[in-house]
Amino acid sequence: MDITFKQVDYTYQADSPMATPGLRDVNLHFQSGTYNAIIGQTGSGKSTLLQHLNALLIPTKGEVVVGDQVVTPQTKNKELYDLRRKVGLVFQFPESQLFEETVLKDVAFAPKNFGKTAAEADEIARRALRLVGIAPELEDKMPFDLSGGQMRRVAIAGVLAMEPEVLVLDEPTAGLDPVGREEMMTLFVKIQQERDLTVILVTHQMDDVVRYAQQVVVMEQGRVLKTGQPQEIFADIPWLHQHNLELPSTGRLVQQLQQQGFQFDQVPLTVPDLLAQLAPQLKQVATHE
Amino acid sequence: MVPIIQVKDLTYTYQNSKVPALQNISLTIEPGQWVAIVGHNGSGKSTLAQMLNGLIAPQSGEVYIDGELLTEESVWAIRRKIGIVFQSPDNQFVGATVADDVAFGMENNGVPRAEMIPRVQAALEQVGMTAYATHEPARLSGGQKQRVALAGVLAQRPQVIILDEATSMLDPQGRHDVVSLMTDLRKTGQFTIISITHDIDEAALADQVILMDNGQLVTAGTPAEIFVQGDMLQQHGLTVPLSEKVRQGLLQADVNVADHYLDEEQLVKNLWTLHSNK
Amino acid sequence: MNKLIFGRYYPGDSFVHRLDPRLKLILNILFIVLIFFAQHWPSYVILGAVVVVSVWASGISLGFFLRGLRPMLWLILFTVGLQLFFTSGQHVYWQWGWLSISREGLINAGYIAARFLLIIFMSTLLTLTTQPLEIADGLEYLISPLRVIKFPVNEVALMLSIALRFVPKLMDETTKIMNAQRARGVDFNNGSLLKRAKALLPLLIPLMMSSIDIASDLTTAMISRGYRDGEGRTRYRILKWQSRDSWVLAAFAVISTGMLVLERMM
Repeated sequence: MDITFKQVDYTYQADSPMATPGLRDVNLHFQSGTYNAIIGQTGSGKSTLLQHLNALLIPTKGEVVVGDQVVTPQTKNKELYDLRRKVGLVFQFPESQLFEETVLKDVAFAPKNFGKTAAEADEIARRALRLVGIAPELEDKMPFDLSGGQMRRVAIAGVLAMEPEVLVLDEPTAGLDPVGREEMMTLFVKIQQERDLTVILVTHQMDDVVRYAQQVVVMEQGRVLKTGQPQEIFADIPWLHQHNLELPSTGRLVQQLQQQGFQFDQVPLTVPDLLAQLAPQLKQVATHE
Repeated sequence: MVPIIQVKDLTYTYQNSKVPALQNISLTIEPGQWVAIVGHNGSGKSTLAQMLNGLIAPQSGEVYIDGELLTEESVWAIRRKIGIVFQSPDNQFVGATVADDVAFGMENNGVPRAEMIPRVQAALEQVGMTAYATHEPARLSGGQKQRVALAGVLAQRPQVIILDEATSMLDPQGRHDVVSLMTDLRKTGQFTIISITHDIDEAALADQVILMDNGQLVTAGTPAEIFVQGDMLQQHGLTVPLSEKVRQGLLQADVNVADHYLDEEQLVKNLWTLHSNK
Repeated sequence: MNKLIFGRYYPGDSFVHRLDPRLKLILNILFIVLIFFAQHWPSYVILGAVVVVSVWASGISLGFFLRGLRPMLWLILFTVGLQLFFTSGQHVYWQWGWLSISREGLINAGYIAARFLLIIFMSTLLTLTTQPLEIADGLEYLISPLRVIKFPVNEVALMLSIALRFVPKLMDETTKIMNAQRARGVDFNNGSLLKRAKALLPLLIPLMMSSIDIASDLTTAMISRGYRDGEGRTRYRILKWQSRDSWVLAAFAVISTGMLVLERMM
């Protein structure tokens, strides 16, 4: 499902003296089936943008087109029912939204809300739980009795159970340890492939951006600063510094190497990339000796 | 020299749990050191931290702080020597304003008000939050809240500062600010710093790294000693520092890079000698 | 909810804002007591003048107060109506079954309305010009004599101040969880009363869980920072009674004595 933003403005508490701009003149296109990343400092408008994707917020000006539905400032809440189902939003620390007595019931909550029968909803919930790697034995447990990592998976299953066409992830790995982070990110790739989803990821983890994203959107003060492939975005290290953006973990080392005098045709964004460009510059030493 | 922290044969199992959270942990930390305790979530590192100031009483084993055995009688005196910054920036903020929060620990210990005022000021200055003294916590960023928490610890003039995953919920900017504060504090030489973390870059700054898993102490050593064992780190759920990944990769590509751990700066220098000799 | 201004703070630096919260609390209590001594219209003129001068000195526009009154309007009308129809009197102007409007009823209703307005204005002025935290501080001082009967004054004050401190955090949390559940298809705004009540469950349970988390984290942090109980604690934040506070108190004493004397004479 394609998503397009056309000249979208959003103002918090519009028509009041406390009005603050959230988004300004945002134009974007997320192509169906692609993996997209949104980056930017805290407060740059990422979360505001995100909440437009399933119309939790409605633009103050302009329009958001999600699939064949157009959301404008005039759109009524009732018309958004279908859209909410098609766009699954995984919030930061999603485990805090769990509330049912059992894992299965919690995951079946959304499909029930969207009109499935109890039996259908349970069936969908089971599929979603298997997809995120929660074993059948855990289905009847209290969600609050699970480990932190498991709770997060259950919460994600709860969103997948809406069978959305777009999956929006707001810092889904926050608070996890390295292994947990890695597993979570691989899980999303698996989900994307299995269900042919459009993924939109908000993150501070630039390594994940480099690794997974086909399109990167850089936000600053409610505006889109730049969009492009990771290679284009991360090529210009001084530009990233100027806008207070993080580098991929190789970035700092690459910078130090450049200052020392090493040359790279293209800024290496991953370790294998760095090794491939670095080794030839050194290799002869090892063989000559 | 009396070790600032000495832990002997500590074991603890949580209620409702079959596996022990800590098993026979023994370790010694000298004053003025920066020690990183690393391990994945649930490895027991936070349980250990909470035992050092008696938040959790050991089921067996002993804890000595500055030579004094931690008991029910000594626990309040010991808490005065240990300041902890916890993981969640919000849930440790007691005061209604920044200055009030910094003063909270001193209020508890009956520090006279006339003495509190300059100590609050000094602590806020040390963490760069003076301008926010009268602000309410709701208007601060996560990183700023953690800096206030650190100021609250500093105002109590502890001997040991424990950072229990204090940076794990922060954005990159906030994390950077807290970490650079920690390096500043180390330079004063007045504190023993214990950072509990699964961020390997943070651990790299320590003098000593202690690796924990399954409630057990796996190994301990300098960062250089620990980080060359990349496979072991990964096996215990941690990542390998970037410089070590690159060094290993170059070794495999037959590059004559140094045979021991190098931090990023050292690695760049080492590689440049190999480059210039070409 | 946003229209209800009672209980909200209006940031400012006026004369009233700067008064000691203890003074403002005491005056509010005394003012309410005084109102119940007022039986004749000249007293109401005096009390009304006190309110008008206080509002003027707070620098907050009268319109702001009036707008804030709107949500309380039904309560006032209901009480006034009660007085109007159910006060029995000699001069009956209108009667329908057991409902009647008498001269006494009219007067009573007028007084009740006036009392309501005066009390609401004064207490709204207190909360508009005093930060919640200051009110908590003021209360602590005022209830501190209760220590004699072993009332845990310090604990209650700390509890109050922590509760106030976590209000914005819980508001954020509420918004967050509401958004998350809306994204899962919950509709908080439409449907029957029962349906809406049911929709609250997915909000309330997570909110409760996160409150428990906060409480447990906070306890750990407080113990680590040496908190045992109220005993032996010193205080960083103190209230300073200024000469202007004494002047205001004196002025109020003069006015209320004047009013009471006037009441006696009539």
